[in-house]
Amino acid sequence: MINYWYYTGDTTYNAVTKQALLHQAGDDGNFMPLNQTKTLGNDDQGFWGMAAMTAAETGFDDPPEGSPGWLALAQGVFNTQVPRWDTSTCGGGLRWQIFTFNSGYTYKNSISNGCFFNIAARLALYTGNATYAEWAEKTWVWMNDIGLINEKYEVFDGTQNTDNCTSKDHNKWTYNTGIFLMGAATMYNYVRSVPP
Amino acid sequence: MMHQTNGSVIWKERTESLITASKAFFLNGIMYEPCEPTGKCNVDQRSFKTYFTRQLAATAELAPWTYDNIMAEIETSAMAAVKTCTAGTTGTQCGLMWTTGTNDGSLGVGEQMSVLEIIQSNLVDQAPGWRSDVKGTGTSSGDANAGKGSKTDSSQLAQIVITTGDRVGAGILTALVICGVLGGSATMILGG
Repeated sequence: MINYWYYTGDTTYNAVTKQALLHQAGDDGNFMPLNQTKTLGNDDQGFWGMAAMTAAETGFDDPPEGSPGWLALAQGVFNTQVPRWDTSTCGGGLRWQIFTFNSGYTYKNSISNGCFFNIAARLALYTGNATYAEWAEKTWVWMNDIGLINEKYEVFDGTQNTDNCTSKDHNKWTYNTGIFLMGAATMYNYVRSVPP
Repeated sequence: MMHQTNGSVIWKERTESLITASKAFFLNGIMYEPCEPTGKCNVDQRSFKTYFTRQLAATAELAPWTYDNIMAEIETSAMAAVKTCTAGTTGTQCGLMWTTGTNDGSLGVGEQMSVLEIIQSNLVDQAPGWRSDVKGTGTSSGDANAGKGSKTDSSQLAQIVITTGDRVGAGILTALVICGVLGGSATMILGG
C-alpha cells in the first residue's frame, strides 16, 4: 500500500497504511509487539522492517512527532537481528525462528537471511554507513558457502542445522530469488555511491 | 570494504545472474509460483508473487540496465493477471494462476495483493525515485542504536499476558489491512 501511493500519488489509503505499520512497531521500535512476539519469526519481523524501509525510501508520511521514524524502525529490526547471527552451527546465518520453543528454531532459511540481507543493503544505501554493507556482504557469502544459493544462482528454501546444514529443502520460491536480487541491485548502487 | 570498481563489477554480476535465474518463474513471459502447477499453494505462498513483483520493480529502478528486461515481464504478467479478475459478487475478484487466462477459483488477500502489485508496478518510471541521506534527499529520522537492548529474551516473553484488548486490536487491524488491499485492488482494476 506504500507502493500504491508511491506509484499513483493517490493518498486515499495512506492514513490506514500508516496506522497499520505503527500499530505493529512495538514498545521498542523493532516490530516485536507484545501481542505477536511469542510466535514471531525472523522473516516475519523482517517483512515489517522492509515495509518501514520502503516508507523511508519513498518519503511516505512520517510517524507522529515523538515516535521513531521509518528509518529508525528499520534500524530497530536490523539491530535486534544482528545478535541472532548464529555461528554455533553451520558457520553462521540466522535461524528461521527467534525462540527455542517455536518449531523451526533449528531451520536456517533463505527468507530470514534474505530479509536481513535486503534490509542491511538498503540501510547501507540510505545512510552510507559501511557497517550495514559489511553485514550484507557477510550474509551473501554465507548463503553461497552453505549452498542455499548455488552456482546457477538458484535460491533454495532452507537447511537444518541438525546435520550442520548439509541437506537442503530444494524448493524454489519467487520471493527468495527476488529478495536477493533486489539486495544485490541495492549493493551495486551502494558501492557506486561511496567515495573510493 | 572492497574496492569501489571491483565491488560494483561484482554486484553487477550477481544482480545479472539472479535475473537470469529468475527467468525460471515465468511461463510464456507470465509470472507464476512453482506451487501453482500442483494446485497446492498455501495462504502465504499465494502472496509470494506480490513480493517478487515489488523486488523486480525496485531492481529495475536501482539497476537501470535491467529496466527493459524487467518491465517487459511486468507488463506481460499484468495483462495476464487482470484477466483473472472476474470472480465474486463484484465480478472483479482475482484468481491465483495468471498463466491460465481465466479465474481459477482461488480467491483471497494474497491473490488480490499480487494483482495490485503487478499492475501498479507498470508505473515505476513515473515514481519520483528513492531518497537517501547520501543523496541529501533523506527525510526519515533514524536512530543507529534503535532496538539495541530490547527484550528478545524468551524468559521475559513468557511473562507477557495477551489481553482481550490486544486480540480485538489485532483483529481490527487485520480487517483494516484487508479492506485497504481489496479497496486498492478494486480501485486499480476498475480504474484500468
